[in-house]
Amino acid sequence: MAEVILKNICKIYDGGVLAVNNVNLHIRDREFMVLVGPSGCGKSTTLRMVAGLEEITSGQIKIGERVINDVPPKDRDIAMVFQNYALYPHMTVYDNMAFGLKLRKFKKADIDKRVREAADILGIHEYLHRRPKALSGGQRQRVAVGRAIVRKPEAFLFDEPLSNLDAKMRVQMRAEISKLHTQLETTMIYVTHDQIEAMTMGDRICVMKDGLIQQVDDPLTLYDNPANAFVAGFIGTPPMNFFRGMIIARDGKLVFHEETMEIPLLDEWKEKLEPYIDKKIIFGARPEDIGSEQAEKEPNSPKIKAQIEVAEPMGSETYLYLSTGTQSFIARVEAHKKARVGDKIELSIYLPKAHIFDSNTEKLIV
Amino acid sequence: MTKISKKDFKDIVAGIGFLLPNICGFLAFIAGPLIISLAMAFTNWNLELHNVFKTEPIKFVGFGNFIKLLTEPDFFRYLGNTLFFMMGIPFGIGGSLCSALLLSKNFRGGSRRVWGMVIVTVMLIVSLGALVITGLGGTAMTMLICGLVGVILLSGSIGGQTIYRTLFYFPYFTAGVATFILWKKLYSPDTGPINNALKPLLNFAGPRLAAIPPWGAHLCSGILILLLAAIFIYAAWRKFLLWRDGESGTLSLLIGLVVLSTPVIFSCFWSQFKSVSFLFPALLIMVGIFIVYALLSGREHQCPLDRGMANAIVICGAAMIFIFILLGLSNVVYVLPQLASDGLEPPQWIADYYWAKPSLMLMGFWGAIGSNNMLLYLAGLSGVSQELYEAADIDGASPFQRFWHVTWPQLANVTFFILVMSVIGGLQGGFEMARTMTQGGPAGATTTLSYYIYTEGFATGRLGYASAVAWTLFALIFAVTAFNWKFGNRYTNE
Amino acid sequence: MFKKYGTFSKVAKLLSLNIALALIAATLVLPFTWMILASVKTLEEIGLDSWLPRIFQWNNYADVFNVKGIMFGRWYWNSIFVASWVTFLQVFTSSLAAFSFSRLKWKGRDKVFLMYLGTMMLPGLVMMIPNYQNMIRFGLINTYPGLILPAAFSAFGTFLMRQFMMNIPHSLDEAAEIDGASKWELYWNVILPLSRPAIVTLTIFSFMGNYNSMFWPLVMMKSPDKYTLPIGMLAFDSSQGQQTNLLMAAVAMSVIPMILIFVLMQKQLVKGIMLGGVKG
Repeated sequence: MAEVILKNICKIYDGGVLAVNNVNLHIRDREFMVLVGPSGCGKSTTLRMVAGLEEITSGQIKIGERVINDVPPKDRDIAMVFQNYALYPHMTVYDNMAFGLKLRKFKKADIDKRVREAADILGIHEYLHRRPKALSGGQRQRVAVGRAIVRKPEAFLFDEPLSNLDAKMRVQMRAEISKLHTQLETTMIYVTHDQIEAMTMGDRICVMKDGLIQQVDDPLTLYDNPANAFVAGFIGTPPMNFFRGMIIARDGKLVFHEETMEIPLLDEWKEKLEPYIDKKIIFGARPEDIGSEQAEKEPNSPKIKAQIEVAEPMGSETYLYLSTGTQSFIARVEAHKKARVGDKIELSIYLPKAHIFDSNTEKLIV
Repeated sequence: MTKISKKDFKDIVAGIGFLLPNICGFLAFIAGPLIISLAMAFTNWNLELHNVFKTEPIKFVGFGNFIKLLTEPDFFRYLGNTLFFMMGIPFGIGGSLCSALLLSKNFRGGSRRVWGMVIVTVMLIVSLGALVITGLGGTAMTMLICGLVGVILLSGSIGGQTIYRTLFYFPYFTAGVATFILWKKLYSPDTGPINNALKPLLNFAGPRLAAIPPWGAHLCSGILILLLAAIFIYAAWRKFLLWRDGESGTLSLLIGLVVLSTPVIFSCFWSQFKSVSFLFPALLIMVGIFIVYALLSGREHQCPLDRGMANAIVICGAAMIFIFILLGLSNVVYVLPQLASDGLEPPQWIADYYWAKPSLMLMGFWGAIGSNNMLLYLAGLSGVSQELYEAADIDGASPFQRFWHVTWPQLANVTFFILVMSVIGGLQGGFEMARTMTQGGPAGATTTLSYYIYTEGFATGRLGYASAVAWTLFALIFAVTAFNWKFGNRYTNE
Repeated sequence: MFKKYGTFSKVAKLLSLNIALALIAATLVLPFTWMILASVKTLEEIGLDSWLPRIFQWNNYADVFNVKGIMFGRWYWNSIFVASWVTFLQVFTSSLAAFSFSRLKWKGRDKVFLMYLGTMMLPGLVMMIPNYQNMIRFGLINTYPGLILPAAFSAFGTFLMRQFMMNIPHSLDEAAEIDGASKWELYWNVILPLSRPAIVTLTIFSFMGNYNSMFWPLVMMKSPDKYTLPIGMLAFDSSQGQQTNLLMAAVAMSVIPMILIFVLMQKQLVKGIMLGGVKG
């Protein structure tokens, strides 16, 4: 059980590609930290540097009190679960789990005890003497986790462990890994490109893009207060709607102005928005804050007119794909709201939950 | 040079560590001997002059060995033999392609059991019919062969492709001293089964052939020559079209022409085929007209000189071999009635100067039909997308067109690979056959370069000279490989 | 009965296809048929038209072992002994090299591999003469090590094994590394067991190749008790060549191991040929 500290970590590949750019991350003891981002954002590279599979170009990684930059992976006291499971096909499940212990010269009885313990936790007792080939994807994944558990490492590393599973299995394993975390009380670092996984599993989430950390926060903070437009757009489905336009001052009030729409903005924002008057900004509103009951109830909610292009009834709610003529956006509305494709409708926006971002830096303004 | 970090160094040590046994072996048995052999090629090291009794110092003779090799007729003669044997390569490749094509077909139809029954029925009818035709109680031989075919049919219909593949592959994977000895016995002029079978046939054919009037033989011979000319013109024309459309460079066009012309040039200066020397001026005129026509009509697209080189060599080479065969046939046909007038004798096969090479080539063909090449072709065929065939069917392609426009282009990669490997192998080949069956004879007719190196190096002990021959052979192989590197990819991508 | 399988023309097509295949196969097997039949004839019957013997002389096979000056059993043993050793060493050295070329990352690896492949192109003939002289110098003439060692390294084998090892997922290496395996343990416990198909293929190739090899044993082995089968067969042919029936029995027996191997290992072999034939 230990904390993992990444200090000014950089990774430059042989070709000169900067994969990880000055990453600082403090993963607390027993924390479930999820690294999330689009592919190529450097999240896997970061994890592999922690594991010792990639060399660290510059910076320092500490596990507990030890600096482990030059420690070989086997001595780092970590275990890793791979995307394609990486089970040894020629060994039985039991041998797969025992292999790491055997190499570390554990006593036979000790190995047996640990393997059986892990098998109990994961419910893979019956398969112990099968080869990985004879197992389903979910079972293989469990074995891969089991191989990590038996070692009782200081930190678990997961590299997109669920992406080879089908959708249903993924949901199930998601819960199981979360359960495992509470059970084992160990530091876990989990890499994924799936923001739902990140949201549902992580104690904290670290969003990365182009080798840079965008934001590190717990899931709800991340959702409610994204640090920038990228995080706002990346977290949540359907993604946040962005409207590009300008802020203009009219009658002492600030108004978001765009060719086809105008949204009067809240007075509390005035101070922060003052410098952006007559400048380009991005107005962001999540689909559930457009046309929702809450928004409709609020009498001062600004309204936008738009035409329905596609309506996707999901059962519990309906997604409307709308267009104002210059801007397209998505609204998540009540399931039984009457909506036909081609209709022009008026929707309110719930302003307190909307965000405004700087158009150049994409940073959050309010 | 990038600097080598501490970790890189560790990695290199680990990498080399695993290679250590190989590096030792490489140095001891390849690199070392290679250098020694290169040095030897420039010395007069001869075991007759330099042995325990005579300790004359070994002298450095510069390029002496190579000059000797290039000026004395032996080397070229044996090189010629080697190349002659290599003319069997296209036939071998063709044979393995055919067998692969046959094997890749679904020849079992539907369920096994019913097919087995159909085949057993047919087998019984056929063998009964054979017995009736030969008069009941006919020779045991008929029964033997019918039985053999029947057993194969039956096991084939039960075991399917695997059985046939195994049987086809049989001659290849057993090839070695043992099967060479077997063939030596098969070819035995007096007691061998081949001549035993041929004798009655020849006795039957002899008088009838002798009865052919000379003009008939001349006519046949003339038809063959015309056929030969047709192939020549067709191949040249194809090449010209490619050249005109910018698919083939000038240089490769000229080389193609040279390759096409070799059989005629060769035979006009080779004592055996002097009778066709009238073809030489005809050839000159034809090539002349062709070049003039090409120059007059000009090209529509320009392209680099060497473009389409591999294509030129492959297409013209194949045509060349057919021309060679037609040339030989027309000669034989020309004199056949004369020969037959004294009754036809079966050939002496490997004991005969002129038959020895074709005999060995025939044996090679036997082994080549079901060789590794067949397996490679089978793999290649299974890799051809079924959709291509379906598209061709919808376009209304005949079976032949399907082969020519779908299968063959898809197999171009495999074919080229096989061809290059066969050529490299062919240049080094022939030693085992020669040593086992003919001792390089009669009169050196079957001595290939590899057997020559063996006799020079290990029998006569002229080590320096043998090394020089080996290095010359190496240079030839290197040239083929370099050709493959330079043009191979382009050919297969075309 | 035909109805189930389509029209008459379809059946005719299938039949003709089958018959064509059977005829080709029969032609190819015919020499072997003659070989077997000749091996059970008496010497007098050999030259006769009929292929069938009057009485099957199966004792010809036993007689092969009793011909004076022909140590057939001994040669058989020598061949298998030498081929087994060569095969073992080749598999060992090739797998080591292939491991280094495919699973380890080191500077200059691919250049070294290309060079190594280049040696595949070298005609063995060039090295034969100096190798022979070296063997004389080190007193290895007419010894088993002299026969085995030069054949113990195979560029082809390395190529084959490397092609195979390249397809083993790389994450296994990483998993093993985290499990605490050293490079040797990775080779021995993970990669080598997983390369079994390639090892089997190489085993067949190199065994058959060496069982059949002729040039090197021919120059190396001077005394009859050290002969391998091919050389022995040559000696048999040149000294007792008139005894065609015994010779054919010997030929038949000498191809038996190859046939056995092929029939038993056919699948692996075919796969291996594909693997080696695909240009890398």
